[in-house]
Amino acid sequence: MSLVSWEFALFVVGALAVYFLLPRQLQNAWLLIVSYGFYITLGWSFAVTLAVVTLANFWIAQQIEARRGTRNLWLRAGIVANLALLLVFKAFDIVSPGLSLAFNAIGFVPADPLKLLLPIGLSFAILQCVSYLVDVSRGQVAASRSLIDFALYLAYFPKLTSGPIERARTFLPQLAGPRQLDNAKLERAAALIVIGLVRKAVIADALISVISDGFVHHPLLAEENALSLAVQLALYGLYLFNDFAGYSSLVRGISLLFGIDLSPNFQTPYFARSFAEFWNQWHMSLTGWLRDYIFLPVSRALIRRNPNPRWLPNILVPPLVTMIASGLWHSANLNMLVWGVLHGLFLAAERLIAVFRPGLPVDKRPGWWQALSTLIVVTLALLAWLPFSGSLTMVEAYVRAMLDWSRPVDYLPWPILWVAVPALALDWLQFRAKDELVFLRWPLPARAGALALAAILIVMTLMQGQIKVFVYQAF
Amino acid sequence: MNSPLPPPKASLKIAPPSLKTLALSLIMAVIVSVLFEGLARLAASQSGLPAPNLMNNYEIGAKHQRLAAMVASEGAPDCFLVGSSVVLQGLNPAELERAYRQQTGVSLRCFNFAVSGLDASRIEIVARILAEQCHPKLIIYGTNYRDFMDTRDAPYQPRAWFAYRIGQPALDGWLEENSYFYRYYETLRWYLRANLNALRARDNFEAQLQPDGFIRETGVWPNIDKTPQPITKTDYRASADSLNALRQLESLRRSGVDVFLVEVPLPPNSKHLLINADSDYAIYIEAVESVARETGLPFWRADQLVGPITAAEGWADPIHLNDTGASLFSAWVASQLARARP
Repeated sequence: MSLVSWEFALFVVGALAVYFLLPRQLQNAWLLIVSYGFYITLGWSFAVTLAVVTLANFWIAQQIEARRGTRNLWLRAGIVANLALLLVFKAFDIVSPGLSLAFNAIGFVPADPLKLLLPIGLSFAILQCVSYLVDVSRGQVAASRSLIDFALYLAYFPKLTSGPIERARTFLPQLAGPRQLDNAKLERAAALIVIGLVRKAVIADALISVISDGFVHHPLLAEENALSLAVQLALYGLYLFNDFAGYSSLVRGISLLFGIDLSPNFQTPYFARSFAEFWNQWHMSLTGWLRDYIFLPVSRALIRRNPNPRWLPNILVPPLVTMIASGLWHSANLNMLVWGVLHGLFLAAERLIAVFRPGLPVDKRPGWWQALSTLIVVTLALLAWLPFSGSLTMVEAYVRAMLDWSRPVDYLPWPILWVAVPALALDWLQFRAKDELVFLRWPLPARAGALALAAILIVMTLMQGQIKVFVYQAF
Repeated sequence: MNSPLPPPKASLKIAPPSLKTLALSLIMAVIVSVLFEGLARLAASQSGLPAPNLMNNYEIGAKHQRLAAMVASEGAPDCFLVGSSVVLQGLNPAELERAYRQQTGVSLRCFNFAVSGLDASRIEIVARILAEQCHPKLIIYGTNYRDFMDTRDAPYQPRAWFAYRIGQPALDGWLEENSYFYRYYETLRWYLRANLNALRARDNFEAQLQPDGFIRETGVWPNIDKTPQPITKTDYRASADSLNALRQLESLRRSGVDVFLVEVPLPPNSKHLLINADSDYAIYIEAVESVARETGLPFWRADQLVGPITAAEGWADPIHLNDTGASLFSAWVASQLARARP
């Protein structure tokens, strides 16, 4: 069931209707039933895997809290078990040809090709489990005594498939505490849903259409001119943002209808003036997780060895390790590793400059300098999307084609301006106001006009065909 | 001593929401729609802009626009030529009219509403729509073996504009019929999806499309003497669905529209495109002839034409006539028509 479909809309309406008829004590149980019901529509084996992960982590957290003497042992076991499970699924595609050969060698020929489908959303759930176990061991959150609440923390359907990656210390209290949906929340929910649908259905699906045939896997690469390829790369970056930010906005709006706040995940990252700023504005829930559970622990460990802030490992290792982990979390393959290394190097370079050539803080720099910084960050981030989206062979071919200016510029996707300009205008409005819901502060006629236009575009787009799967559902 | 307040029992606390935003949005939606509709209709009337798609198909959109222009300036045509791409560039309305007038002294204005890629089911719907819209005197369907090949798992279900025009409820079809804003939005999204080849094909199509719907293809296929490799992998079978569609054409005669079927000729070696060559081609011909006998629709075989068209270098490729071949074929069809309708 796609999140952008009439079936899902009916599903949410039905879930809401029963939810508000139930007494508060039964609402969490209902949400859990609904969430597992939703997950089963994606694959019953996914639901079984999640249930097993839930039970295991619920129990391990109890052990961590109860057995102070062996707390660290339980914590390590829990982390290893969670990551091992993730690794098995992520790396299976890499080892399955070897496994097939091994099976053949002993005379066993599987009827179907060996396949192990990564349960949708498991990558996000595992990170939540790891953060939960660590937080319990640090005393930042009490081990949950309610299996229903903990199970709901992992399975909650609006965030199940692609996050945001919620922390137990902020999410579990929402599940336990009173919950209300009032007019203000309803207005915010509606605004988030409309913005999400505009970003996903109207903008992202249009942008991906113009990016020819799988982007880097480009059958017409030899015929396209360099400028067109550069433009398509920029459009890909815009598409990725609108697809994922659209999803995040949509699920946050849906969750608010149940009175539950999900963390914001994006904040106009393409206006960032540094990579540190970029990563504080792109997939914020993942960045926060990486910062708290990889970057800071690695930094602390290195500082304990050598507290000198100019010691190169202190500067270089934490961002590299963090971003490599991020790359491999997305997918355990070489191009994702390269993507992670690239961003690690960008961050490391910034830290080197900050330590050895500190200048004015970003906010104090002249406007032109800030604009130039943004241009550099965006350009490098866009180039880094190449290994994010394709194999290294295709990336090399794409870069070569982009640098070959001998081909005539006889084709540019001009119609895309009809989509790209409004998309950038939307981002600009949110950036200027530092508020994703800036539209709610507009005067009534402007607010009504924006809602009317958005509704017309959403309806016309949905009528014209199937909306594509959210890109982060693949991770 | 004050005891703590109990948690609120109700989790839903919606006061009657202010309907101002919603009401104003609805009014705005109407205003915005009218405004954009006006702009879209203005754009459609500008000759420099591409015709908006219809059913996400630029050929149907462009044909629809050319037909509307013809109806506005000269009145509805007397006859329609329908079929797939073999008719699109194989039947020249101007040449047909010239030859027909020469033989009968009667004028016969035709419009070519053939569309690439349509099969018999869709062609029948196009014919029905045109008959209802323009009440022509006759419709000529140029057949090709590909029109009847079984490529679907289930019978064709018309959608969008097709469904709407044949009386089935279809909101998107209603919008396609009545809203240029919707059609231009559809067109924009088509442009976004189109790759280089598709854009070039559309540009070429728009450049070559005549006001009477004909595509003047001037290329000459140099390999007329070579035997092509088969493109089908299984024995030819005319689908029941497509033959039923052919039968439906007979019903147009009840509304006063004459219908004629004509075999669009192929180069002599092109039957080898079918895996069983002549025997497969014979199955196609027998299937059409069977329906023709059953319904009383005339079906004109064009095999004697192949020689003259070949000699005149009348082929653009193994299946399609070029402008020279189309002129000869159109004149021949006119002569058949003159005999059938003296």
